[in-house]
Amino acid sequence: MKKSLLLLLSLAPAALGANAIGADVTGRFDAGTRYAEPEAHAPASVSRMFARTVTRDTAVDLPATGAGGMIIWTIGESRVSTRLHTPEGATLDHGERGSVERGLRRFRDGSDEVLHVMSTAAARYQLDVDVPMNLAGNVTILAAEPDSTLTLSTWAAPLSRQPGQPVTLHAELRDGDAALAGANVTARLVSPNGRTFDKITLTDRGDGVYTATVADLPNHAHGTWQVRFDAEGATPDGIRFARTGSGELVAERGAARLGRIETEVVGDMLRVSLDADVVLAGAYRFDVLIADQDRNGVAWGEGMRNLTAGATKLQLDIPLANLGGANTEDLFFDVRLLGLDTIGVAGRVTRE
Amino acid sequence: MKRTVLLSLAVALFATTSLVAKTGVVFIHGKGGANLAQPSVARAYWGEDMIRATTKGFTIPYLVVGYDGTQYMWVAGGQVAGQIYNWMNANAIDDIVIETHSFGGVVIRWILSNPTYDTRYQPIINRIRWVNSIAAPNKGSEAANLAGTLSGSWLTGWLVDLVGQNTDSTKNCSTSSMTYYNTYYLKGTSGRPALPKTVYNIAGTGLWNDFVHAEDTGLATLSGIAGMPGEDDGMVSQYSAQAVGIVWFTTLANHHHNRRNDYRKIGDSLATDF
Repeated sequence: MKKSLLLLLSLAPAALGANAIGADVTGRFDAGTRYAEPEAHAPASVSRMFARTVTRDTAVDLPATGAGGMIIWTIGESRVSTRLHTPEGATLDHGERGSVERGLRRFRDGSDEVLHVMSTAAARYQLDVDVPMNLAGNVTILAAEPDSTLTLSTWAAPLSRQPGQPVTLHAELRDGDAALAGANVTARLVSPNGRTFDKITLTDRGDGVYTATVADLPNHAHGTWQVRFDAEGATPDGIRFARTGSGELVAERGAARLGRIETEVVGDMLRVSLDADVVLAGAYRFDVLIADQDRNGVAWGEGMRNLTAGATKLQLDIPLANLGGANTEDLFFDVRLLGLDTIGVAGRVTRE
Repeated sequence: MKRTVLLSLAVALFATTSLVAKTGVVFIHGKGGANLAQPSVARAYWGEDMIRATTKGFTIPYLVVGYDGTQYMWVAGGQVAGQIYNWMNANAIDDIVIETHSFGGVVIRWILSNPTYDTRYQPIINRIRWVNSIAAPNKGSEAANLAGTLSGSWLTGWLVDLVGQNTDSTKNCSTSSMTYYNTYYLKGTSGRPALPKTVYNIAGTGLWNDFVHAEDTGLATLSGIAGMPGEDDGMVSQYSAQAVGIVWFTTLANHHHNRRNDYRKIGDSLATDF
């Protein structure tokens, strides 16, 4: 059922002319495609796990919610020895492989170790970690409850952040449909070059949502910032829990400022243009997306532009034939300037 | 019935067009180490039987692309494009079927989405018949998010090798990063312009393929720890693999096996294109 008719079409030379090297590329949206606004933030990262880091011999508390099994992954530079104590009094000793019958199993490969508690009680487990004397780095322990209904959902916004925009850190704790208030939720920002900054405590809104607004990033590093969220608390039934989540945003360079979108019909083309103040010279992709009043995608165009710093005029011609006879005054325009030497959004403007 | 008719038509059309077209296959691997730029390592990534099966016993001209598996898609795209461009011109290949695994599907989307970025892209695009994309993290991978969560930790060992260190290619594959790239740079997802060539996706939905294999244990562990929604292959969720293109089929082969022709005969399926 696959593919057949496309074969002939894909071999036809007609496509070559329209997409010649260096030329702008234009096209129509597929029928039924809805124009999509850029996402304010990435979809929430949903976590049923938490992370702990130790540097020396330690007994690590592992709170379990009692919903299904628990996977415990220990990561070290070299082999780390662990012993697991369950709340029922059972112990999986150093080096023991365990068994299905015991409900405790150990898997090893190199320096990694995975413990599987096949069915947890809603109580505290304890992992004794013996760290080798010569270990250079940390030991990280991840404990996940894949079947748990207790989740931490996290994101950071805006996904594309221009200089000066505040940053919102968002976390939500739920146990199924029930919101979990009263937890301690913190976040740490990690810059694109890997530097970790001080903990930020999120404010409990009382409805399971915890937020913090950061007026500015702690430094001006451009690129992807990662956010690690940590939550600890107890359910209304007194069951302790911990969760670790993540989020990301892109700190843009502020590479250009875009002016108002202008349009005019030139021959059989709709010319879309705007004034731009280019702050950072370089190669850019100039994108034009066009939708109708109901936000059905109509047409698009894009082209590479090598821009020098300073004022410039950007323009791109869209064939009127691609607009399907729509009145150009009734169209919605979304125009973007995207970095190509350095990936990132230089600017975006829209016109109703 | 419909499938039979279409296949017959395809055979007839191919018989006609093959008089002028020379068909070839390109394999584009996923992320991994820098040594994936070495031809022997790239070839081993797929396994000999996958290449043999797909090319019908090596009778279809083929290219196994190798690129540094630690780089962002735009860096990888340049390395991939250079090899395809030289190969197709040297061998007069003008009908290319692309087979990708994992991040390779994102790399080819970068090329298809940015025809003016590199002068080699458009000539390559013009010769692509279609893309078969196996387990591509089109909307990112929750396992890649894990690498970010662990940022600053000591990252080494078996499972971290599966996740990928916190390299540029792993960062590229986080769910946030792919949301960003899908919004601004890549075509083919909902609400975006269509890709210039059709993508047929194959999603993995199995975990435990081989109980004695360490990778299988690792992928099952990752699936549980990373919190992948719905079905997944231990590294990429089904929703993400199917976010671009037309669903061709799903496979119970996990992320380790769905680039090979062993647990499930995926190479045999790919060979039906020729």
